[in-house]
Amino acid sequence: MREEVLRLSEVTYVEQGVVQLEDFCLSVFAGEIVGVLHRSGHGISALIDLLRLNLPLRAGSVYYRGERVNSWRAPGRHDNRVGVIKSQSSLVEDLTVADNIFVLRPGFRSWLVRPRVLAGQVQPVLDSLGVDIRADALVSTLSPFERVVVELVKAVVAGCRLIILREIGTIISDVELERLHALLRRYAQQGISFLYISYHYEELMQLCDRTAVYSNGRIITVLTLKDGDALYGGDYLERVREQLRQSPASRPASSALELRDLRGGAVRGVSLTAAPGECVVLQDLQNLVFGDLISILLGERRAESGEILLGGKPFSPHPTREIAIIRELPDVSMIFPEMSCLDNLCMTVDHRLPEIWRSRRAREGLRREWAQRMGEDVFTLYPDRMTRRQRYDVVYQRILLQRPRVVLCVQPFRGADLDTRMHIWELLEELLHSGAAVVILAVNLADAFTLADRLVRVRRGASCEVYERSEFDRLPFSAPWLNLYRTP
Amino acid sequence: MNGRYRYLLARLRDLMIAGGVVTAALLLCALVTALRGGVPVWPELAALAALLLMGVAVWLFVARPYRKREQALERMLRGYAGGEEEMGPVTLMGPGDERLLGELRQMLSPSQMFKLNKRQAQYLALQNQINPHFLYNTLESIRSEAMMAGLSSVADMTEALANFFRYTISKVENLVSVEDELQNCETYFHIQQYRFGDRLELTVRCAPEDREELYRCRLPKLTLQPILENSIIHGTELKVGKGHLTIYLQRTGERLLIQVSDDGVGMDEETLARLNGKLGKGGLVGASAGSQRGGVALVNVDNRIRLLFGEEYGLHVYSMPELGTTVEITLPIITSDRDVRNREVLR
Repeated sequence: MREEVLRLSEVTYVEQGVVQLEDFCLSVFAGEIVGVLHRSGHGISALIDLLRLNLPLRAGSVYYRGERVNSWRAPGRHDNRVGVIKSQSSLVEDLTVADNIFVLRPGFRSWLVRPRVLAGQVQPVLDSLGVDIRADALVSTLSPFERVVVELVKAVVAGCRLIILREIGTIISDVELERLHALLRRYAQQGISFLYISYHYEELMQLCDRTAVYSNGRIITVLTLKDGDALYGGDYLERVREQLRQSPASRPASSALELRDLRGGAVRGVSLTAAPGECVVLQDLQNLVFGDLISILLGERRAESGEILLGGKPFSPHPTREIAIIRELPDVSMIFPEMSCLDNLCMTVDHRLPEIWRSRRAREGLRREWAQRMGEDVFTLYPDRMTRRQRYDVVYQRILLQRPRVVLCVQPFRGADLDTRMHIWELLEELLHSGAAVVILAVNLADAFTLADRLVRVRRGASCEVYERSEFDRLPFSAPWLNLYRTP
Repeated sequence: MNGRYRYLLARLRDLMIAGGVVTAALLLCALVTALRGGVPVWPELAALAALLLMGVAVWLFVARPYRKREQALERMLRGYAGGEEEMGPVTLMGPGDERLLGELRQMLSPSQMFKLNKRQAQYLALQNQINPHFLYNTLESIRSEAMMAGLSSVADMTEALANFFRYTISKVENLVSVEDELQNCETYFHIQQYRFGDRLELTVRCAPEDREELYRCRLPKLTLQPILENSIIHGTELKVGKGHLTIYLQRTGERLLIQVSDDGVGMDEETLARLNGKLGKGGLVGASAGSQRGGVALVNVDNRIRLLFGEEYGLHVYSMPELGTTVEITLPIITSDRDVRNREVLR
């Protein structure tokens, strides 16, 4: 007999007139790690809120730990004790680990906070997990992985029998992810259940026994390991295979970007070379260097030492159209919401077409030309009316128009569902075909790995390992899609 | 603003707010004047308290029941069952309402719906209204002839068919044990194997320690076989290559979970949504479902389960193209017919 921790039965939930979940059914048993793979992100936030806060339902019921806690007829009155760990930490930066775990816990009633006692209680727990975190350390000094561990311990200490993890793979590296998975398995053996939400089946299949496929507010199927290939409808996987079959094109001898032992801030000796049309993945195992590296390249931070070569010539860092940066979640961070699609597109093209802002004719010509790529419709819309895919289009096409030598993409696949990932992939390929060197700054290798011609791994701010594409099948660590490289 | 609040509630609320604010303001003025003038203030305080009580009373006895009524009616309009069990007590706005609701409930009462679904199940099983005894005798004769002619496979097949009909045709409304139902599934599968040969494979799985208990549980007759039949006809039959069917049983403290899975062609998201939309409505779609293609057997089984055991039990379908389909059946753990919530519908 199995103990059921969570059951959503035929749940329909509507938020401000928009159906978020419809006929939603899901069960989680005690000690089980259930993956939720979302093909489209719509409704996932609502699902998490619903599980925590028992929001009023239109139909169906929610059962937690054997009790009906919410139903369409009788909305739940209390919050559920469910832990939620997201990629954005919910810890208080200026408090210690022990304070975050105990003092901010619901139900903490002590008037007097005794740091030493709290630290004494937390430290053995942290030590038993095999993580090097001090209970009296400030949260602001912790790495993303350590923060996730602290949030996990906080949820366990608070008595949560169900913990939801959402897109954790986007902030921690593969090595840390393996460590986290080991911790989750350990807690699962103690009867705690997990709902592990991710966009990447590759990540889920490493951990979960069952994976529920979520699409448009419904669970459409529940998968086991063997179903993985069929999951992507053949389309995605076939693209991956095709990409891997391609032998790397011969690159020009000159490099588009070269970093030689670059240092400054968290960057403690990064070296890499990217030729035109080449894709280099820079994997930061601690998620520390990206901000400082970009600041150095843009001239916002002085490099302490090292050398930067752009197009084979020494480059003194300053903002230049030769280097383009595509930031995380560019559909939000790189779109000007008050500007039209065309204006958004023209933002960085003035070095090529100086009259672009003066001449209506030039802009009209550009619109006509780009309408063939992006469609007419998008030019009639402002960003708030565009689909996510259209916003991605605008950002990437802007970069294509800019024609930079080097494009630095920070976690380009972060937060993207399956369809968007495939589209981003196509856009990145377009950038590569245009002759730009693409440097993908990634924490987790999923997706980016398949595009890479070279992988540079950065540990504690310094590049430590470099692998060419021909060596990927011999990588000494676990990475998504690695099995495909090893397939003869 | 949501349409359902446009009418009475909105007017009532506006009236209450306006009246309450004016009265409260007047009372506060009177209170201040009384305090300044040294006059006793208890009449004002009492009036304020009465106003507050009136507000609470209006909320509890007028506004809230009205909202519940709206919610229940909206749910009924969306196709869910309208019995008192499903909707709970409904506040009536007048004698016309009461008559209307009474008529509706009469039409949609669980026993009526169950009878309707029972008839449909019988119809599905006996498309041609064959006389059962005539059928059994004929099959037995065929079997004897086949044995005498040395056609053991024909004899075997005929025996399986006779067993299948004997189980299927008699007393569709009965509850049976999981073991009997699985036995019938295996008989049905045995018959299908003559058609598909090695192309089909059936596996029944459960935790060994729970097996005995699981097999003793009761469920409505002909719950599994129609689903298995669906899996074969709509799933594996259309697939190129071998098809695997699995019946997986498990139990929690209060529920029996049975998953009937196939690795057939599956279905797209739209079809799946439409099918799941038909399920879970407690009987209302039963009569009309026949007009639309597909899912009749599933809707019928789902309706019978919900009418017998309540809205928290029933069927749910999971599917993806090329991955196959899983039908999850949720039932209460029942080992005696006396434990059935709606026992009168069995009569």
